Order: sequence, then structure tokens, then C-alpha cells
Amino acid sequence: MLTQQMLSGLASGFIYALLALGFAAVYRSMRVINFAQGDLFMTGAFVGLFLAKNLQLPFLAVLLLTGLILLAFGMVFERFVLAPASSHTPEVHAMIRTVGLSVVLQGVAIITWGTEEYRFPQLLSSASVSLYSISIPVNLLFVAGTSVILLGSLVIFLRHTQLGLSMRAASQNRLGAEVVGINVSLARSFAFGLSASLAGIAGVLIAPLWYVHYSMGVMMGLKGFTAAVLGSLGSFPGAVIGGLTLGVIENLTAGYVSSVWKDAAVFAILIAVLTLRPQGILGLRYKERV
Amino acid sequence: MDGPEPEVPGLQNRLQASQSKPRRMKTKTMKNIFKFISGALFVALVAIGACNSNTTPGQIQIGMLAPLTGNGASFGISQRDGVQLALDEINAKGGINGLKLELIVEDTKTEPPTAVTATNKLISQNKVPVIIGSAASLDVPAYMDLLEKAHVPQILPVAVLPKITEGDAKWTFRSAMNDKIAATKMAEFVVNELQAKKVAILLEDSAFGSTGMVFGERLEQLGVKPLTVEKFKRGDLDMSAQLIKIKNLGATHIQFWGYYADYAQIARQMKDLGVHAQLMGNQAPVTEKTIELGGEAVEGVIDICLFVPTSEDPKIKSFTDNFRAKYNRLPDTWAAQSYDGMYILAEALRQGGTDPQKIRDALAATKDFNGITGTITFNSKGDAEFRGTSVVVVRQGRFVPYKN
Repeated sequence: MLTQQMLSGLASGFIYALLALGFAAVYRSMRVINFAQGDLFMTGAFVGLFLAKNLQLPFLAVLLLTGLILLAFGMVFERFVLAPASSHTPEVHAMIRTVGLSVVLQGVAIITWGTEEYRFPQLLSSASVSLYSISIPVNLLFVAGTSVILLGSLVIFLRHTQLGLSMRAASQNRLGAEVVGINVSLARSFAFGLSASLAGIAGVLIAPLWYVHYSMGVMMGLKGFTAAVLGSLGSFPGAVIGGLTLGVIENLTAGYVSSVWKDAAVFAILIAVLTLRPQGILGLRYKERV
Repeated sequence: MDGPEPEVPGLQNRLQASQSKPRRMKTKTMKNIFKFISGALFVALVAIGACNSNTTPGQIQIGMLAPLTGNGASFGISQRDGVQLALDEINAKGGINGLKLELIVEDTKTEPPTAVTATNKLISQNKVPVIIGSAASLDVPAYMDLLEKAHVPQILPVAVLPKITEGDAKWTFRSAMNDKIAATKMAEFVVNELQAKKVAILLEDSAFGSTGMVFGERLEQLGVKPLTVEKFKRGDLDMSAQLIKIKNLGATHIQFWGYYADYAQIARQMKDLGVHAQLMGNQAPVTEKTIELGGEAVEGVIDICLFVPTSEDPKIKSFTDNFRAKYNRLPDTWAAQSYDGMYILAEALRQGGTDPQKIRDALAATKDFNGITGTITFNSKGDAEFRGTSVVVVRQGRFVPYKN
């Protein structure tokens, strides 16, 4: 039962990891916590629902297109709403604008789709693979597989492409990056777009296993944030480790302590990490910029 | 001297200024007058509207609160359609005491605050003498005190929450099945008919889901101790932890108490995880939405309700046919209960006219009303006495009566 519980926890863990990666990408490049992450996740699920149900596109195309649409949306939003936040505390201003985005996205979803639950076209049949008396749902394998592929491409992108490198450079030293001719504002826009895109893809990935609903992102956003903090806010490997740990802890709490404490455990951990080890599991420390 | 007047610099300007001042004042006064007139007109309109609503000749207005949008929409739409069908039939036969019935429908959006606003509107603006109450259980406790204060009776054909009739409300009558009765009867069915020995309980962590504990208590009285009571939050994504635990305890039956979306989600996760226990639910999942969200995973699940559209009883058959002719779909238990609710109300209106107090007294005296969902008698709490239930099972994407 222990292995089974842990394995099942990994499924939601991967989704938390994708959301946590989005938090990390935005935090690294602009020192902003993107409060709209959960609602971008929900928006992704609805965009995917539209593409899959109304346009009848195959799932892979839905996944890619949703990713691109949210990437474009995120970049435009950063360029025209977040970037102009120029006061002596631009981070705080930008953060409040992401709160605004979250409210707007939920409002738009309610106006367009109402507050009902929608079924996302089933992708794979409900089945499970048996391995030493542990049954592994096929759906879980799919979520895990796609997430791993996404993580791999993200690493390649950040290490081996011009844009990826300029993103990293811009986040490490903005002035220096500008001096050597890196387009910092593009890099920042792209970072926000990437975060939106990751959230949107996570939304499409989980939608066939759940249902699509205007408030589906609220709890997920909070858990993604907890995962990001748990791992170490701003670290990509930390986000993944944080997400997976969180998923497993949830299932172990519900399985061995009490199902009533499932969510409470998550937020108790958030509080504990923030007070005892604010730098997270991986313990990355960022120097405060002067 | 007849030359042109000497120009005084600035005079023109000053003159213009002194002229424009009264002009500006004039516009201000005009604006105020307009404001006053439009305000007065508004008051007059509201007054006329208010007078009108109660004294429309040849009509009785009935207020209806229904969750037409939001996550209670599937119940609200059934409520509206069931009531409308009964109302049309009554009007076609000449109405009540020569008066036609008119329905004023307000959408509660499945939000208690909206239900309160809508109730206020029906009471103070439309001045309806009676209300058909919301299908959303949690709407009702929010607004029912307003009806107690305004002395306007309501009939609840769909809302099942036990709490509604546990206070000392004098103006609320529930023709739906109190969820406690459903819980007790379901436990008796599980033990006596299904002969279940290993039962796990999975309920929503809320006032609504806690009625599932009544199921557990009755189960124990009948000699079957529930293996475990697991809980979940409404709208949770992942129920795997609870389901794996239940599977490991060797449960053959899982009794659910909650809301249809979570019911469908649990049914799907059971398939994913290879949990082969029999899933059983409360009244709330008896709706098309369960089948839409659950698909093939909800095939074979068992629930409890008051009405099944496949009965051969001529009265039920005629209702089912008429409903299908009008709405092009089969009625569910909520539509049938609402249809009955409208007829109970019609009976009360026949005796009470448009006087809320008399309608209330007539409703309270309802005894042995012979409807399509059974014989209805209100007890002193305003709750319908137990009148038999149906256990239903999903076969080929439809709720049909359970037969062994």
C-alpha cells in the first residue's frame, strides 16, 4: 500500500511541479510571484477544451497549441501590463497586477463558460498496468511521461538556445546582460510567457483526468506555489522536487493519518518551510540586488 | 459724442463671464429638476409596479427561486421544467378558482447571497403570496428566515438538506425526501438487499456530506460496522489516497455522500486504480450530469431517489410522455418532484386564494396527496413523511430501477 500511495501521489506531484516551474521561471527573471499561475492553469484547460471539443483537434495538437496560445498571451501581458510597472517598487506593482490578472481570468471564464463542470474528451481508456501487485494507472504514466519530456526540453532550451541563455543571463545580472547587448525586456516577456505556457499545458494534461471548471485553478495555484517554495523559490530542479514531494506527502497524509488533513498538511508544510528553512530544500540563496 | 464707445480692456471678458454665470446656474437647476423628475418617475413606476403585481386581475403570481446557472444548474433546470409543465396543465384546465397562474422565476446562480437578493425581490417588489423554493440545498438556509419574517410560505420540491426542517420554521414545507430518510433507507437496502458485509463510507467534508454519517449509524444498528469513514473536499482532483486505503481494507461496497461531480470523479479514479467495489451514492448524483462527467465509469453505480421515469403506472407514464413531448428528454426525479410540488401548491391555492396565511395553513394541512412521486403528507415540522423510495442503477447511460 505504501508504494501504491506514493506512486499515486506522484501523478498530482507532476502537475504541481509544472506549476512550480512556472513560479520559478517568473521569480528568477523578475523577482515577482505570479499570483495568476493557478488561473492560467484553468485558462489552459478551457482553451484546450475549446480546441478539443469545438475544433476536434487531436490531443497532441491541443497540447502544443494551448502551450503556444498561452505563451503568446503571457508575453503580451508582460510587455503591456507588467513591464510598464515602473516605480521604486516595480516588483510589488507587478505582483499586484498578476493578482488582477487572476481575478480577470476567472471572471472571463465565468462569463464565457458559466460555473458548471465540463467533461474533457477522454484521451486514454481507464486502465492500469500491474507490476508486482501494484497497479499503475495508464493515465498516470501519460502525465508523468509528458511532464518528463517537458522538463527535458526546458533544460535543453535554457542551456543550449540563444533565448534560453539570454533569459538566464538577464535573471543573473540585468545590467551586465544589457551591456553585452542582450534584449532583456524580451527575455523577461519570454519568461512570463513560458510560465503561462507551462501552467496552460498542465491544465490540458490534467483536464482529461478531471473536469474543467472555473475555480479549478485556485487550489492548484496555491499548491504549485507551496511546491515552488518547498523546493527553493526560483530553482528549476527545486520546483520539480518540491512538486513531487508535495504530491507524495498529500497521499501519505490522507492514507495514513486522515483524509481530512490532506490539504491542511500541505499548508502546514508551507508555513514550516517559510519559518524554518526559507531557502527551501535545495537551499538556493539569491543575493539581494542593491 | 457719437463715436464708438472706447474699448475698455478686459471688459468684454468680464461681461461674458458675468453672463455665463447665470447660464451655468440655469443648467444646474435644470439638471436638478431633471433629477427630481426622473427620481419621482422612478418612485412612481416602482409604486405602480408594486401595486400592479398583487392586483393583476385574473392572475395569481407565484415566485420561484431556482439555481438555473452555477453548479446546481442541472437541478434548477429540472425544477423549472417540472413546475412549468404542471402549471401549463393547470392553466389549460382554467386555472385556480378562475384565476390563471403566473410564474416569476428568479435565478439563484447556486449562490446563497444571490438567493437572498432574489427572495427580497420576490417578497417586496413582486409581493408574491407564495414561493417555490430553491433546488440548491445550501441556498435555502440562507434565505428562509426572510420568509418567516415576511410571512410568505414556500414549498421545497427538491432541496434535501436535513437542517432545513430541523429548526422551528413555520412557513417552509418540503415535499422532497429529507436526506436523513435517504441515508437510513440506503443503509437498509445495502444490508438487506445487497447483503453487504464490508462497506466503506466516503463523504464530502461539509454539512451536506455529513448526512452520510446517518447512513453509517443505521448500518451499525443493522449489524454491519463500516470499515472506515473517509472524507474529501468538494472539487478535489485526486481521491486516490482514500480509494487505495479503502481497497486495502477489502471493501466490497463504497457508500458516497456528496455532490455529482465528485461522484463521477471517484467512479473514474476507481477504474484507474482498479478498485472493483460497488459504488453507491446519495440523491444528488441522480442527474444527467453524473453520466456526462462519469461516462462509462459510472455504469452500474447505485443511488436512491423518489422517482424513476420507466414505471408503467398510467399516471407516471402520462407525465413522462408529456414531459418528453414538451422538452424532448426524459424527466429525472427532480423534475417529477417539482411537478408534484406545483400540484400540491395548486391544491393549497384553491383553498387559500392569494392570502399567504391561508395558503400556508392549507399547505400545512396537506394529507395523502396522491402524486407521481408517492403519497405526500406533511408532518408538524413541514417535512414530507416517508413515502417509499426507489433505488436506481445506471445501465447503458441511464438511471433505471434496481432489480436483483
